[in-house]
Amino acid sequence: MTHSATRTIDGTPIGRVEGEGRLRIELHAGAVASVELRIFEPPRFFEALLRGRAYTEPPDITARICGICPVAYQMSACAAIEDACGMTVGGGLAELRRLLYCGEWLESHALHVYMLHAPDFLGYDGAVAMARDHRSDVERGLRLKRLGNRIMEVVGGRAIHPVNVRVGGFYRLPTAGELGELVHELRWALGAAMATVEWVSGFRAPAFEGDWDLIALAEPGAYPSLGRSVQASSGRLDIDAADFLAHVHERHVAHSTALHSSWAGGEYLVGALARYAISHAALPPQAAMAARDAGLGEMCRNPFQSIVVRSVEMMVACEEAMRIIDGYEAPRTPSVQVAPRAGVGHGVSEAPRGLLYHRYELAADGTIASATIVPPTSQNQAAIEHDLRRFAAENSGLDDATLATRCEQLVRCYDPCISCATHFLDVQVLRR
Amino acid sequence: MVATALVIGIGNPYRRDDGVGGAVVARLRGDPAAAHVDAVEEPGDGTRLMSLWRSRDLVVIVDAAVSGAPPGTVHRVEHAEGAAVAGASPVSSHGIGVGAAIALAEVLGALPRRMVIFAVEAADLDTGLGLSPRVEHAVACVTHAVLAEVRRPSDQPPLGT
Repeated sequence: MTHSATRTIDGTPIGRVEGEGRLRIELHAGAVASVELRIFEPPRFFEALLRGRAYTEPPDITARICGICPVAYQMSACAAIEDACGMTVGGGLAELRRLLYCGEWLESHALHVYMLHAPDFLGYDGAVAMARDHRSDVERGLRLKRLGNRIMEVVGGRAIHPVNVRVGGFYRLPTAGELGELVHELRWALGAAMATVEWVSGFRAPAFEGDWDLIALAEPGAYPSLGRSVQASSGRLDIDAADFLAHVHERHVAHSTALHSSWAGGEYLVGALARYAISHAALPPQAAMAARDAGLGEMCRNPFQSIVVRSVEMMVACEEAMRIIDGYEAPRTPSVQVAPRAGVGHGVSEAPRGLLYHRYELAADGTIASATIVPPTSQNQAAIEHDLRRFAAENSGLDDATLATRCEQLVRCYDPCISCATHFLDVQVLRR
Repeated sequence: MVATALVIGIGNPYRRDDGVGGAVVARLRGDPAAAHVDAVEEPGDGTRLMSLWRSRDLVVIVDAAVSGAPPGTVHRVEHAEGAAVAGASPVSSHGIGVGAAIALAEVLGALPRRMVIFAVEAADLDTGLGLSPRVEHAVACVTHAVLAEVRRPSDQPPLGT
């Protein structure tokens, strides 16, 4: 490394994140002066374009925000609108929603674990190079992802931007036969996901612990995907979805087109680590066993080990999907009637990347008067910067190229979905 | 023997010329001469593409590209050279794009027997519907070329010979 007073180093672009941004690290005489995750993704004004639309439209419109987690947008949108209309969709329809979510968790986690994240631990610059030496692992990851997409096709009508979801339920119910056809592959997938946990728990994770609080949905007796209760791992937060915006504050920062979130004046993290910390006791049996064997304990605060937790969650998705299909009795109708009324509704669900909040204000005829969407990655941005600041400080003795690479790798640990429009992140290290 | 050919139009119709793949697929669907052709539209998720082209004899991909050539120019490449052109396409939005999927499939031995890519040089990839005039003009020509590829006799001997 160089100890000159002023240095500017541009890092190389990295792939394997969702969206366009630049990480800028400034070091003054070896000490970290500032870290900014600069998002210059153009804002897409989804909240504004929802205004004036019908209350039935958000599941289809907001699904377009993300090609990796459209189900999350559909589920939070439906929950919020049904809440505004004084409705709760339960029973078999809620189970089908959970099943659809299992598909999304599986495809999103398989993509991240195998294609985006594992190469960092094994010393490759991407999945293609890794596949040359780890062919059977990559094939296993692709097959897991394929099953996730297949579940989304069967329940959601399409693997990307599903078209079968509506306020109140679905347009068409899958038949028991269609669901039954998934079981054979799900049995294989549960074993494959367990093998994934074993594989990634052998990766060497740098020693690093986040000091943020972790926030996720909590569902009694279940590993969370749908629900209303939002909790913090510290126990300092236990609220209904309706109170989310009273506790979480969004603010503009000059260097980013995405809003930053804070809670109780500080950073917090949503996502797999948060879900695991709050609901590890509710893991289904085989996932619980695999987590224990992987040495995860009751909480994991090392972002580099999030790959292990995501792999455990792939097992959750498989076990949950089999439970739901096993007990499936077709609901009497594909959806329940949701009559509009004037009011405000709040909906939350667990996207693969973490808690996703929607709020809608409806006029009496169901016209949307206002919409607010708080996605997981914007909630995580402040925590990511906070971690980068600490991580860069702890590793400031590394040469610039190595430090830039390590920081890129840390960013990937959070599986950020900056947006769906482009696909690179520049890292810039400045030394003064 | 019926050749298992698949035409995949890749892109996002809400990003102007990125919709050229879908436009070719729509034209094939309306063409009686293409009644036998299996054609799908896809947003461009690489892992999904890999699952679509597994066990196909021939895959024809139509996608938008930006290489600096005049808008509407049609590049035709077979898969051996394919990764470079597909990699130049700015239209894959996720971790594994078309170029990476071809490269990955090559490593895994999961490519179809033959893959032909038609990449149409885009002029406008902004948000909105509709193709720019030169790309629109290229749609008919690409559709004919795709049909010619699908009709081209397979070099695999038919069953029973």
